Amino acid sequence: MIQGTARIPIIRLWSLLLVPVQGELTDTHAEQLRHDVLAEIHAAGSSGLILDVTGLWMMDSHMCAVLTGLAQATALMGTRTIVCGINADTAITIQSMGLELRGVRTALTLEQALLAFGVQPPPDGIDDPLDEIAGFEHST
Amino acid sequence: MTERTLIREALDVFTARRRARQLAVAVGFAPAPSLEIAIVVSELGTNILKYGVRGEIVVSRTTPPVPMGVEVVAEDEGPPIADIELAVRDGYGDRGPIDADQWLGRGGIGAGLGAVIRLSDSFEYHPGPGKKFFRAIRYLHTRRVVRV
Ligand SMILES: Nc1ncnc2c1ncn2[C@@H]1O[C@H](COP(=O)(O)OP(=O)(O)OP(=O)(O)O)[C@@H](O)[C@H]1O
Ligand SMILES: [Mg+2]
Repeated sequence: MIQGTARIPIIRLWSLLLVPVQGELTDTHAEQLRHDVLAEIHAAGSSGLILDVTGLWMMDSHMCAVLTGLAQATALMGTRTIVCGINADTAITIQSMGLELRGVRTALTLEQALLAFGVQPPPDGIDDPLDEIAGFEHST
Repeated sequence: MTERTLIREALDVFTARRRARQLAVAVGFAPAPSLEIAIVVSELGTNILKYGVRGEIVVSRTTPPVPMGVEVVAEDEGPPIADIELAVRDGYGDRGPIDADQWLGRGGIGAGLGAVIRLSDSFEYHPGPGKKFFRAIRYLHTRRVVRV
């Protein structure tokens, strides 16, 4: 189990950043994440940030504050943030807590977040790109 | 069934809230209310870290004649809360409203105690003498009593 010790990866997807928020974040980790994300946006000029919270088992007011704060900070740099992966239980709790992710856009799934940033889904029946990797064996 | 967790750092809050969820499930709560009980622990535990002195969280199964449920007691040795009526309001600290610009700097939005109340069936605050403590109960079969 991750217990607030692992560094959260920041994944570049074209001009977007994808952050799978996971584990349990101490203030130090939240601060680290904020610093890393802002530095990455600055370096890469990212146009959008996706915070995927599928890996969080619960959201309390602290986590809402961390996510909201991150979105506010990126907005100042001209980068939009979408939070995705909030499951039904978490959504209900956020609501019954009277919390809201103020000014933060949400999407149900990662796919929907990507669509919202204008990323097109691959057409059906695309050639398997792995075919082009020499020597790659399909395991079926 | 009693779980006692000393709160000295953030990891202790994580431990306490995981234990709370496990205990809630063991008492018979469904996943969603078990999660909510974990959040109550998380909010009270985080407050001990931020504002309290030498605190602990005790989560236990209620005992008769109290109806079946989970009880959360969060106590610490710090001074009592200046104004609990203000503190439980959303967007408020214990001395008044929190400036939204300061949310991040102070690491909170003032929604914790409000959330605890909304997620609990019974809520009490005891300023002392002695240690101050909060007690929140969630009943397996709900009824609400809020007292501050
Ligand atoms: N254990 C405690 N000791 C002293 N003061 C406390 C304690 N718990 C809460 N308070 C006071 O009550 C106020 C309201 O607490 P609450 O949890 O609602 O908001 P917050 O902690 O400021 O923000 P959030 O919980 O949304 O991150 C706090 O600002 C603090 O002044
Ligand atoms: Mg709080």
